[in-house]
Amino acid sequence: MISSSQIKNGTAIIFKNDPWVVIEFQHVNPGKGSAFVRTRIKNLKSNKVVENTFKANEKLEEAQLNYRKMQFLYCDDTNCNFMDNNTYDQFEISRDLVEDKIKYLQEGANVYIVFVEGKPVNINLPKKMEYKVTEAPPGVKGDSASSPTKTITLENGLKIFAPLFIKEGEIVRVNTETGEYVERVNK
Amino acid sequence: MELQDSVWFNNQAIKNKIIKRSQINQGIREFFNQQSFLEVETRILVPAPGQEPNLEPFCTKLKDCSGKKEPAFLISSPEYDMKKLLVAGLDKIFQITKSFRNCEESSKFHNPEFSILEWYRVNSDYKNIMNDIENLVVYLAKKLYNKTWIEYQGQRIDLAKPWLRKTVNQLFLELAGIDLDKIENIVQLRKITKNKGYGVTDEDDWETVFWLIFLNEIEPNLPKDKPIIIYEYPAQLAALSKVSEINSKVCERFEFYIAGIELGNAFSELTDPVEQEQRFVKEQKLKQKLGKQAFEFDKSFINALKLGMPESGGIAVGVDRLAMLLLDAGSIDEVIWFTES
Repeated sequence: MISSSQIKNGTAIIFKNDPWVVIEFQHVNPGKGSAFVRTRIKNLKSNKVVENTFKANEKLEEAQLNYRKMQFLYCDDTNCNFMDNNTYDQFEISRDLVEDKIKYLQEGANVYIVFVEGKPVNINLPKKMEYKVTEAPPGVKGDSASSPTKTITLENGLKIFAPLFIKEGEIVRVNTETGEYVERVNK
Repeated sequence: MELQDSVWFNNQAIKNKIIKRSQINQGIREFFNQQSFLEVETRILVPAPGQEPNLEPFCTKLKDCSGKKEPAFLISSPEYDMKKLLVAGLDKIFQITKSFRNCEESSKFHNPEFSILEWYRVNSDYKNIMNDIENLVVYLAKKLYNKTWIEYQGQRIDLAKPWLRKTVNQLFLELAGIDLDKIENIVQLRKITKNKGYGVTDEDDWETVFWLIFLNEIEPNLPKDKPIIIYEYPAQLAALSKVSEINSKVCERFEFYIAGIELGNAFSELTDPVEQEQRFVKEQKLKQKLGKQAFEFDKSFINALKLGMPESGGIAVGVDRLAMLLLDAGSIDEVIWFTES
């Protein structure tokens, strides 16, 4: 069981006897009264998307999840494509299920794909991922008092804030939950 | 809006928005001045916060030079102080001020600091306020665009009077197939809701079950092309409103929605000091049950009611949301220039 208050994007639940995955969620307090969690959920059998509001702390049945390690290939307008390195089977995940994770992907990266009832529904990113820095403007002197960071661009196009000493060509580690710079990797 | 990059510098689009927003505030003042309402100012920093069980106040400490500290709070609404002014003998008052709510949901319609418009009129009830709100919104649309309809996020909305007015019970019957008038107790309501497939438990109180149905079956299906006034809430949701003398199961409270957005909440104000104090005590208990810190309620407000508050109608309207609607802004940070987050 899982509490509705712990719901995140990608959480898979059994609801009205079907497996569903959470696409969006928001905590709401109507009329200054009780607390609720408003969600958009996608039915994994019919692909139908509905809105449903749960009570805060409502007990929900979690769907059984399986994980398989796969290599990321590419995303198009509707799907993201992955390949199982052992069987060379390819799988698609609908973009709307993983929109918030796409920016962390880079071609060839190995990630775990989450399956519910045989269907790929989510990407389990490593908590920290490494990227090569492709653009790092020199830090502006005198800036350091107010903002000791600058925006850098990584090899997959992701832009993050990083300390002024980071240079182009270096490798940095990024937290994939917060999108924040973690550390420089010496290689 | 965020002060980002150079976009902010001398930007005509941003300037236009600030000017339009200012015209809305001017329009509100014109509307009330024309009807001889008095504009008042009341405290933002108060010694006792609003008692709504699920609102979290901003708490601070008031210190004197000797280091003595007293608790102090930012208001969640100017309601208590404004009602004290009614007791002082003022009969038609309005105010535009800032209010604050901590731990609010993060959404396109919320900001921890927001502008609130409240007005009160004595010898009136919530039906008079319904007329006021229709007139105010039409006045503002005419002032800004010289017409009585607007377009919001691609949807044409006819603001002309009269607006749709439906009781909560009508809506529950039409949209959820539930006759609230026939429901005798919470056990019965829980059972009906459970049968609909909701995860209701024996712990859930009236308010929780009510909002569960409201959020799932009523709110998403409200008309989007014209405003609607939803009135006569169940007595359990009375807050600071009077229970109806004709039907004790309902209270004289209304909310109004435009484009599916909740914009304001109005009451025939509760004037009975004994019942008001009981409700505060009940709300404090509920707060503790929810694991939240309960604070002292405003005793001077109860004292004011004891002196005698005239029968009144009053309302709180979210000015930022009203501005969103009138300026076709999809998010509240398009009508507030600097946001907290």
